[in-house]
Parts: sequence; C-alpha cells; structure tokens
Amino acid sequence: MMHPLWKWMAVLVMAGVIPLAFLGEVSVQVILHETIRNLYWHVTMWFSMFILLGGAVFSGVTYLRKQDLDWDLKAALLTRVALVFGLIGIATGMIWAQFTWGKLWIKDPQLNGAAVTILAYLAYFVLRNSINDPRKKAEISAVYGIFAFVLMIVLVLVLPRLQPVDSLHPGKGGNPSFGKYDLSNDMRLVFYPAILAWTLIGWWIFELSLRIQRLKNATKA
Amino acid sequence: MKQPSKNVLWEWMLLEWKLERRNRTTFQGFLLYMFCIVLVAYQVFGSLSEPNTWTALFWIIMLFSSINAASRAFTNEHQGKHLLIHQLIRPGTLILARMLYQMVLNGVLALQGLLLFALFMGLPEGHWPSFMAVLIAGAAAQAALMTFIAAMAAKSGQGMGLSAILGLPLLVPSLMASAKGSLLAWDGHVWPALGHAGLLVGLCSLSLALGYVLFPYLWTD
Repeated sequence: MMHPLWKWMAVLVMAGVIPLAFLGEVSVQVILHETIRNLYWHVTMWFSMFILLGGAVFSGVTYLRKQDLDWDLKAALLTRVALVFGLIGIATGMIWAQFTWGKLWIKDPQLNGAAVTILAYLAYFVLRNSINDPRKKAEISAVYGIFAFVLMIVLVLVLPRLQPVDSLHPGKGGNPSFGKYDLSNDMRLVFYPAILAWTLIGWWIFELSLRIQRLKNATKA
Repeated sequence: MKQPSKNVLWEWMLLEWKLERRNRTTFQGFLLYMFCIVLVAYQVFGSLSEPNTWTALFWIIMLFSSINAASRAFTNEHQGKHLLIHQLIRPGTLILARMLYQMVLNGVLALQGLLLFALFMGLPEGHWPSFMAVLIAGAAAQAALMTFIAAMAAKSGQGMGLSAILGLPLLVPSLMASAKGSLLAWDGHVWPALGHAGLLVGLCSLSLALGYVLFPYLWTD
C-alpha cells in the first residue's frame, strides 16, 4: 500500500530534526546553556497539542452538525493523542525546569495553566466513561470539548499575558521572549519543522488508532 | 402552546425564584452550607486579617458553595417536567434564564460569605469598592460557568460528583482572576483590580455566549 505523501514528509522532517536538535548550532545562553535544545521537544509538544486539540474541537462541532458518530470517535481519539503530547510536554518541561530553575515544579502561571489543561482533559475522559448511551456520550463530550477548549485558550494563552505576574517563561512577566533575539536562525530552521513533524506524527498516531477503533466497532456490530 | 414572547427571560427567572421559594429547603440549604463551611474554617484558622490567606480561603469557600448551589440547577427534572419545559421555552432562553438566576443567587451567597467572614475572621484593610466589584463579578462568572457544567453533568445522569470533576479545572481561570483582583484591591491598586473585575465580566459573558450556543444540543433528546 502506497503511503500518503504527508507520512513520508513526517518521517523525512523528523529524520532531519533529530540529529540537528542534538548536534545543530544553538545560541548558548546564561543558565540555559545547552538545555536550550529542549526547545525542540518541550515547546513543540505544546504547539502540536494545541493543533491536535483544535482538530478535536472541529470534529466535535462537525458531530453536533451532522450527528455522525464517526466524528465523535475522531474527536475522542484526537483528544487522547493531544493529552499524551501534553503529558510528554509536561515531563520534558519538568526535566528542563530541574536543570535551569533548580526544581521540578515551581509556582508559575504557565505551569498552573498546563496542569489545569491536563486535568480538564482527564475530566473529559471521565465524562465519556460515565455515559453509556453512545449518542448522549457524543453530544455531551462534544459540548464539553468545545467549552473546555475555549476556556483553556483563555487560561493558557490570554491570562498569563494580561497579568503582570512573574512567570519564568520567556515572553512573560518582563522576560524577553525567545523569538525576540535569542532564537538564532539556525534554531528557527529546526524549531518550525519540528512543530510540523510532531503534529504530523500525532496525526499519524490518531489515524492508526481511528482505523483500529473503526475495525473494532465493525466486528462488534 | 402559550408563549409569552416579550419578557420570557425575566419571567422564567421569577418562576425559578418562585419554585425555589416553594421548596424552601434548597435556598436555606445553601445559606446554611455557607454558614457551616465558614464556621469550620474559623475553627481551623481563627481570626484572620492577613490578605493572602484571607483571599485564598474566601475564594476556595466561594468555589465550593457555588459548585454546591449550581449543581442542583438541573437535577430535579423528571421526564414529564422536562417535556413540559421543552414545550414552554426555547433552550437558549432557558439556559440564559438559569444562568442569570444562578448569578443572582451566587451574588447573594458571596455577600453572605463576606458578612460571615467579617463576623468571624475579620477583614483585611484595603480599597473596598473595588473589592466589591471583584466579588460580584467573580461570583457571577463562577455561577454562569457552573450552571452550564451542571447542565452537562445532569444530562450525563451522574449528578453532583461529576459536576465537581468537570467544574473544578474549568473554574480555575475565573478563580485566579478573582483572587488576583482581590489582592490588588487589598493593596489599594484600584484600576488593576477593576481591570480584573472587567476580565471576570468577560469570562462571564463568554460562558453565557457558549451556553446559549451549545445548550440546545444538550437539551434536545
């Protein structure tokens, strides 16, 4: 079977990203030093997570419009992949924090936002598991998914920028953002493709689990 | 069906109040719940005028009492009554009426909580009018959000336990803004505190808008 072009693209970009992430030229900073390479793993996870969650919200909206259970399945599986990406993002972030800020977890608005996002999406699965009727499950979880996504945008992307709080993350609380002058062009050349590659790989995982789940449903029926 | 088209929203809010009064135990129950919880906190903390602890304790108590108050908004509807309401009023109007009603109720609870805090713990010193603005806006934002969460939890048939799980993560943005705004008010930063009150009004309107758009999908069976 011929694989679609985007899968080849994901593999190729990833094959370029991995060696460049470890060996490529980075702009070495005070405190950060070589840990800045974590940018390619940690930050890209959250970018990909938001893109995948956007896909989940789109699926939820489409379910509500078309009432087709397949779209509900897509929404649930996309959310699951996104949740895994979010957890990896937190784990890599914790490692980074240990080496730069000295602790695995600190009181930081960005971290709180991340923790709450994870909790909200764990609650999504609790909600799904607590309803037996598939139509009802699809409806309620689509509505919850849309609601949660909008609030998460407010929490993670809007609130930390509005409040002059002291986040240690770049671009907030008076800290310069990476984009301003830290990120050299060499790094951008790895960073943006890395986001693309991780998102594509997430999509791939999603597609595989969707096919598995469809087959399972077909054999059950 | 008779459809009083002009002021359905207002009439429905009055109806909710009449029903609440007929079934007196619920409203008195919320007041008593607030009283008990503040008294319990007083046993642990004693008198308290240090702004940080005061604010944290106050908003956590508000959080639980608003979850308690809102989670009942959709529970006492058996199938027949549901059908009747369905014929009487459009779902969008219904959710708006219930949210607005809960906002008023939660405002009353917030004022009660403040009085009890003043009586037992004492109050921090600061700029009062801006704190009151944050208090009312925060209570309204919590109530609007929790009413919608309660609608989802009630539809899933799981009731209160689920509405706490779903509600707690999603309440974090408004809780953070309330706490931060209160602290600013105690410090005498009037305009930043009012800015947070404005943010809370924004969150509240966001919940109202999302509720209005999404609730019809939940409501129809």
